[in-house]
Amino acid sequence: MPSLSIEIADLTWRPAGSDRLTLDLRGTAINLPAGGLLLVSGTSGAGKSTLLRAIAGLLGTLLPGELQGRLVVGGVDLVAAAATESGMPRALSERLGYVAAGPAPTYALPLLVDDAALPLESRQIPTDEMRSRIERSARDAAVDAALIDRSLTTFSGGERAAAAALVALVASPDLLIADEPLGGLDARSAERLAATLRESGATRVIAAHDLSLIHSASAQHLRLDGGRIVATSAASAPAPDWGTMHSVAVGGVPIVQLVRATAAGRDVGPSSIAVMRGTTTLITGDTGSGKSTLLHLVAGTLPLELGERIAAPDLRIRLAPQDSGLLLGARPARALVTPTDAARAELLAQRLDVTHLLDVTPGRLSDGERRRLAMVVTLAAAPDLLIIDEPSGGLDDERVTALCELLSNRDVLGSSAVVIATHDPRLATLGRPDARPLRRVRHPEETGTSVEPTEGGLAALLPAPAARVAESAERLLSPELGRRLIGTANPLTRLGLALFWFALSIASPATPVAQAAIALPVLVVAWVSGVQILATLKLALALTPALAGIVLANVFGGASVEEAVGAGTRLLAFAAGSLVLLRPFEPLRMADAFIETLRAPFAPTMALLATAARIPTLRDEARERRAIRRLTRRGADPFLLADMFDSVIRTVPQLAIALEVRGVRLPTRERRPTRRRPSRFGRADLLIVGLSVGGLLVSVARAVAEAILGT
Amino acid sequence: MKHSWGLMDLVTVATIGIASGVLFAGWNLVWGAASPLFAAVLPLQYLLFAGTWVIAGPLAGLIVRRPGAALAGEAIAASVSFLLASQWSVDAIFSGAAQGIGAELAFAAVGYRVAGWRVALAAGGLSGVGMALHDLPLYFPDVSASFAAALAAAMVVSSAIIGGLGALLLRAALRRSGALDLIGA
Repeated sequence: MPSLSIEIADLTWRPAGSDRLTLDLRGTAINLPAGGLLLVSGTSGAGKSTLLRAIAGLLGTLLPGELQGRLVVGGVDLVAAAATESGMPRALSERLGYVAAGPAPTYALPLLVDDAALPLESRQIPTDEMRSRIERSARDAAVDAALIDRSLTTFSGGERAAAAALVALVASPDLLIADEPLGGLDARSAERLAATLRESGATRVIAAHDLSLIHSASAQHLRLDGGRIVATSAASAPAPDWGTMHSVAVGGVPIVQLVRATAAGRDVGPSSIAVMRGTTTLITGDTGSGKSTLLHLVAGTLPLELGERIAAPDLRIRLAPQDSGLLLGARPARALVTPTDAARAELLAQRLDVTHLLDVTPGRLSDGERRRLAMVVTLAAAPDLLIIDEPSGGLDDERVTALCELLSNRDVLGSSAVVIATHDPRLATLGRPDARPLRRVRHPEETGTSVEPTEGGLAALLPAPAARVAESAERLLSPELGRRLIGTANPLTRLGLALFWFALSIASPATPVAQAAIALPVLVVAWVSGVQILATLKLALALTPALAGIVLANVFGGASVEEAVGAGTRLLAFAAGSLVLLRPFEPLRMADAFIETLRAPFAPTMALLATAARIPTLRDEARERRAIRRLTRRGADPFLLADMFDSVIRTVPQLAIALEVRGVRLPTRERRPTRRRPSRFGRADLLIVGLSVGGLLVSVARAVAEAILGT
Repeated sequence: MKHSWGLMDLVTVATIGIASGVLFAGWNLVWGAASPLFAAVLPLQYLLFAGTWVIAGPLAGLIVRRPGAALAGEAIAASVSFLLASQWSVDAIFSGAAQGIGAELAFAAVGYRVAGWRVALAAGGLSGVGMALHDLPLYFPDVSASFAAALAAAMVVSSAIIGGLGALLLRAALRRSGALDLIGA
């Protein structure tokens, strides 16, 4: 299909609930021919993302607000669509690839391979083509092939950016819109992705602070400021090189020291680092090398798995995370500053040009604005240890210079130790001669070794013959064997059985007898799906008091003891069975099964399941938010619940955009759905259904026999 | 005017449902732990704790004013709490549906146009009615009529206040922070 052209004239956008235009292109007209390249630059908050979203057909349709003027993309009138449609027009959706700006998660599904398959599934592309297309896009987007089958939640900021580009490219779009596609990437990956973007035959609209890598002779330029066009050509300064930075040796007593520390669940080798009072440590390193994890370990906001963290007592620590939203929450920045620090905050806000934003709730602010507010909040507290993750993300050169001045200033920082992780060579100015002592550390080479796989397990500890026995026992008990033997049951079968058992335990005249129909298949399913024994025990612990409660309450409520025990047994009957049965919780497999077998509507199912798949992230974020907050204040925080709902509602537009640009509203009911993982029913399903039916028959036979023998 | 459910509405309802579901899963444990303490005065336990379980329906209905939002929100929340951890197992889905239908009726009665405190209170209260209609026959079939009535009253009052007005307060906080503008609610 040919690429498409873009016409923009007098375009304005006013978001819902705001009284000012965040994009105001009155008096200008832009025409981009098919296959052309439009580069958009500008300061943070200048309206780059807004313009990109407009061209993607998201404004007024998916995102609420008022779009006026003229905007025609590939023959589709998007201003007209904004008034009538509640999503991106179909004709555009089919042909679009869109990279949303980080650092907040921009994926729809947590496993990269699932996320990348979603645009293909939306376009009902055959299952056997999916893998090769994903692998090809991975090469184009500089994504390591080993990452394809990993979870995006474990990715670093830079890896996420590359993954977002992969997903945008996977369906070979005719229109490619990319918002800061190179954000957080190391130089090598950035060059590879930039080459793909330069050479693509699609019509491209790309926003970036540093355009030098993407620039091409035929490109059109737009420089935005305050939502208006200020220039139509951009002179981008060449970025300084890491090599120009110098490091100064420092001494003193460390206030925090990590010794071969690792974090649970993070695939990062043991790291050692010492942080001295009154110095600045700049941590650099490749995309995905574990810089953020290291920072959290230093801050003590991630629990240690191995190694040691030695910290001076009563340290005042502040952490500005990569996603500033985790620090700022739902309240204006001023609410996070203690009254004694207010004057300092005021001064810092002036230096960073955010005085007018101190009392604004952070929801509407751009990533760059939020980041500067996070700097104000953390710096104002004059902490002993200040930890900053990618301080310059979303900031233009001028703001980075201001920030560097602040972070080099001996008076502002006093005796605070500062640890900064960054990719950004612009932070090189931190190391100028009049600044504080600066130490440059490359992670992981200078802070630790690479990941060392642990060998052997239990078997390694035993003498040879015993080890062989232990080995075969481990193999027998491992769910892998069960999986190989009978495959894993379809989630639909498990759900169906849970419902059946529920009905059974209500209908059965002899509830304990009905348990025979449940116990056997439960054990088998538990074994096959590798049930987590600890998690199940925990649930049993929760169930016991509830059970006691209901029996006692029935007795106090006037029921006989026998009746009360009956009510309790009934609860136990359907609880125990289906609790075990539904572990592990596999929302994505369930969605596949619903869409393919039951022909469930695609968009609502994916919306529900993509949201469900974020539950672990939601919990981690809540934990991280609590940990960061705890650095600031002790005791209970009544705002946490409102903050939690606020932050989940804030993720809604991101997730809706992610789903929309992956085309989940595209599939028609006429064609068969295609899934990356087809939902199949196999021997496992037959086995557990058979066991359940068999158990039921035995129970019935016993009941009948008892009735006959009894009379 | 746009009438169809867009992705923004779908994701909003799913998100409210799922966040509440995670909350419910934690609440289930609190409830379980408190059960033996309150066994002698069960209506009091319902009065203090039960309303939290119906908050998803009124909240979804107040934020997304479309047919089905309240029911879907509560049903999703209940299903999630079941899938994560719930001593009530599959039955959580059915009780969630019963409570969601109650909340849905309140919003349907005003044609999904109004969403003030009266509707919130009614949505919460009717969720409580749904809870009573579902829970009493299943868990307390043999108790005396007066005990059942006390339980039902506790369920309705708790649901109206914690579920209904709680959802209203939460929405006000979200509106103040500007989060609702982002999703066009």
